[in-house]
Amino acid sequence: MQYDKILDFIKSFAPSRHSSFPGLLLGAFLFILLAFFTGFGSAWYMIEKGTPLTRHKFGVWHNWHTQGTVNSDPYTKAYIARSGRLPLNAKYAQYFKATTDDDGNRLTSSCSYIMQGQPIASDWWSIGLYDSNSNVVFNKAERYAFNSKNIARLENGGYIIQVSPFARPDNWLPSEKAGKLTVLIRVYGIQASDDTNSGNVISASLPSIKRIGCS
Amino acid sequence: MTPKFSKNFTIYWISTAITLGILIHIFSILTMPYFAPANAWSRFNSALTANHMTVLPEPAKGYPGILPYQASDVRYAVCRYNIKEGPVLITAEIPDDLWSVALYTETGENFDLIKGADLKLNLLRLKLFKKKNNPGVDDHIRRDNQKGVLKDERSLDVTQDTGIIVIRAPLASKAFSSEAHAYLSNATCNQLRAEDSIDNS
Repeated sequence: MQYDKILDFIKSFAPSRHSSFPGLLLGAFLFILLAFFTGFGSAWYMIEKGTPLTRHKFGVWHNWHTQGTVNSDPYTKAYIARSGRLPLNAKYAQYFKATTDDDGNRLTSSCSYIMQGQPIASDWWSIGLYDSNSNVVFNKAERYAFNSKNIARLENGGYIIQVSPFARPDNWLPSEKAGKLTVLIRVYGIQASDDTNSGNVISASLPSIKRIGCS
Repeated sequence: MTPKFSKNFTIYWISTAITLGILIHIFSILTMPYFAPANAWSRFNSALTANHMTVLPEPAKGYPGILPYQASDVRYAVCRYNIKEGPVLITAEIPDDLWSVALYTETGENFDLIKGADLKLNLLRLKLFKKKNNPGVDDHIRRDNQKGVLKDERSLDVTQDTGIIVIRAPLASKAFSSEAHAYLSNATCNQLRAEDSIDNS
């Protein structure tokens, strides 16, 4: 009896035999639109934006914390495949990406920025500048990145990097006329104090990105 | 929207569409690693010969690099291996603790990583093969991996026939670029011939 009631209830929502053709056509269109939007739209969102389970956020820095591992979740695997990258195993290396400054403005070559941070507890780290096509920003000075071995340090061991289209002293990354910018930090040989490799240990030493002016 | 239509397009169809959407979501996420048109395997598949070690040129104007976000201060040597026809032998001199040899599946999972710091003599000889294609090979693996303690010789039973090997050489500065390039140029990735048994290679 209960089953019949449920069946009747479901049937009550089915299209009526008196439905008009245009109505059915519109219904079919909306049906497909909704299915595709739900399916592809949510998949795109999960790969592009991630969730706190797949992608950690430390200030302006984003980190897919299980990338490169065999046991990473399906969203991380899909993200890596779509990106075309080949990251090292997350137990050994972590990657942090920033596309905005500390105030949430999109990084762009028409503005100048100061990045200030502390050494990252690891065997080697590097901070590189990329354009919107994921390529290094080509410049005459051939400065594309600074790493833990060649960066000019402050007295306290920290560093300042200037990202600007105009020449700057010390650690200058020319942004030329690249348009939208991305900064990527790669950290090899993380010296983490826990075994989660979540980046929690080193997040405090990730640099801030302050905008100092735009042309 | 006519009243008749709004009656027809009901919760039943909406929930069916959402269910279908969930199936599309699961299918697209799970198949993305295999069918993403610009994944790393596709990029190397068209650019590199199988079982041949290639030193990637450093990014330059006109050559942005095969991989997105390729590091300008890391030199790479890459081999797209295929062990269908037999085991593959990788040899490389790894002069620095920071250098690494990473093995990837076609879908970009780094299933094995050998760091320079792990090597005793800095001369890596790594044999890749599939155990099911080489029955009775367990003894050889054990023997090789025991030898590896002293000689950096290793044998690895890989689950898939094809994959990617990447040797990474992080640079302290640009001055070390040509030196790193020289080491990477000497690295090899060759299919072992039929007469080269696992034991003799």
